[in-house]
Amino acid sequence: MTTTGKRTTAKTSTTKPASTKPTAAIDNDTAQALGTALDHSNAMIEFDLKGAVLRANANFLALMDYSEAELIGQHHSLFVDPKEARSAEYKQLWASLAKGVFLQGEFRYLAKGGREVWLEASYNPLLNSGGKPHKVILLASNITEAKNARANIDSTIAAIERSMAVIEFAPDGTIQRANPIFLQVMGYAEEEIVGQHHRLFVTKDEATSLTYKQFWTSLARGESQRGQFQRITKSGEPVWLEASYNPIFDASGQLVRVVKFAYDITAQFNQAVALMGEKSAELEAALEESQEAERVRLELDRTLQEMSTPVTPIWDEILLLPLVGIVDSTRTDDVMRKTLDRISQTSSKMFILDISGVPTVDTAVANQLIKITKATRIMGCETLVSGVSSSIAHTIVELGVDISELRTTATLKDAFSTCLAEMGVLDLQRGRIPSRSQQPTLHRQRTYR
Amino acid sequence: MASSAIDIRTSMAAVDGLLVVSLPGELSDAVLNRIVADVTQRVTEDGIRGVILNLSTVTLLDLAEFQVLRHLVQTNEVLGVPTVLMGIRPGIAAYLCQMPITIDDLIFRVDMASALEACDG
Repeated sequence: MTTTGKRTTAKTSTTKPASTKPTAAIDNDTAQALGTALDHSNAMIEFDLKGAVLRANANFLALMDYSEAELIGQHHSLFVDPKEARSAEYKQLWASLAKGVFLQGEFRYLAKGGREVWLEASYNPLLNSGGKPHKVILLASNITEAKNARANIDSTIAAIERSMAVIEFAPDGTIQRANPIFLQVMGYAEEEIVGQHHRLFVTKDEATSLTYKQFWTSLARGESQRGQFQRITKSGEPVWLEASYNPIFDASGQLVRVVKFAYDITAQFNQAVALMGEKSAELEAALEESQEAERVRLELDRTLQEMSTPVTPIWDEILLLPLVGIVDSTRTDDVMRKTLDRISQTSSKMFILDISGVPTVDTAVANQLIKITKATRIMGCETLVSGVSSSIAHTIVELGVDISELRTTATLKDAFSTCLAEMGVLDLQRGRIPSRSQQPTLHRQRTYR
Repeated sequence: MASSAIDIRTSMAAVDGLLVVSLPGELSDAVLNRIVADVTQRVTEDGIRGVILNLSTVTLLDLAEFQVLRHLVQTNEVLGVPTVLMGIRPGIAAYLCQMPITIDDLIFRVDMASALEACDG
């Protein structure tokens, strides 16, 4: 139905005036009752044969916003577009009504103020006893809302058809129709695909897969499906569709067809893939870079550690670690680890920890030194702490650190000679190198049986 | 624990009056108790003059296990046999030094040569 203002008579049927005389079969009472019923349910208005209003019922007046007084005597053209009122067709309408022709259809009327009202109406010419028409009764019901709703749906569907690929299937997947956009995306002509099965658009592998079978059985059960689907065009190219498959039911709830709405997202998809590739390459480069940085940092760390804790063998089975700079717990941990490892590697029996390069020693560091001593002893290696300055000695005493576990000497030289003596290399008393058999017993002078 | 009993016997050797006991890499309470029992028995039976406990293959030693070993050392001491703990690994040493234990009454040696020396000293 168009909205151009032309009166539309979609289902106009005409009946010869003489042949309709239903009143003959109905008695007066029935006619009365019928009239009342129609008056209640329909909008009614009576015109003379020229189109002048004779009377209108309450329904009609309410519908058109007029009072009866305003209407009586007015011409029917009050209800139609002035343009239409001047048209030949309009004149034709009244001419045929005057001849007693029955008309029915959907008509566009204008209410008071120009408001549009759609009427499902019939023009009923009434015949007088001589069989001549003498007036026309219009019986109408208001269908404006339904009309507008319909127009709304129609334009929505038109919009979808204009912008999306649409294809319709029978519930079993047989193609019924497709719109031009779909045909263009897939590269087919409509007659090539109508009657074919949907599997025309998927790969052979997919068509035979269980998933594909389930896809159609769930659609046949009335479950809609949506997602991104890969489909194959006529030329065998893959396309990506963002699509929804919608089961359509008739009024009784029976599945009649499946409509698929789709967008071609191949371009976006490819772009995304490319972008992802690009991104991942970037990421990889960044990762590599950071790994390299980490490696360099570790290397540097290791070198620094190596430099800060140079545990060196200075004699057979004697290790020396000259500690320089600030000593904190991280550093002492490192010293411990390094020292124990070196003892294990070299089977050293003496370890000299020279702290002459350490400016201050606090309780924590002193305790760490004691722990190192203890750990090396457990491994079977004696620790001597050398290079204890007088100020450090003072501090240690003032802090009240229990140094009974620590063996300390003032200078590195003292420590070294003690070591050599204990190893039996040097006899301190006699200033000569003793023979192996005269080796003094080790630390704390344990005597065995 | 028949199999571990065999292990222990094979890892115990008396050389020149010194009993060298090699402890297995992984100690269980059962194994450790078996070792303690076996060592104590060998010490009393054979007139051993020194015991060397070789811990160089032991990778894990907790405080309780260490206390068992210390108990063994003290038992030997009572029996008049000095015991040397030999080859304790850096990791175990680093752990034990953090523990509130005294080690003054124990003899540790870094390798077998010095352990033998300590026994002969």
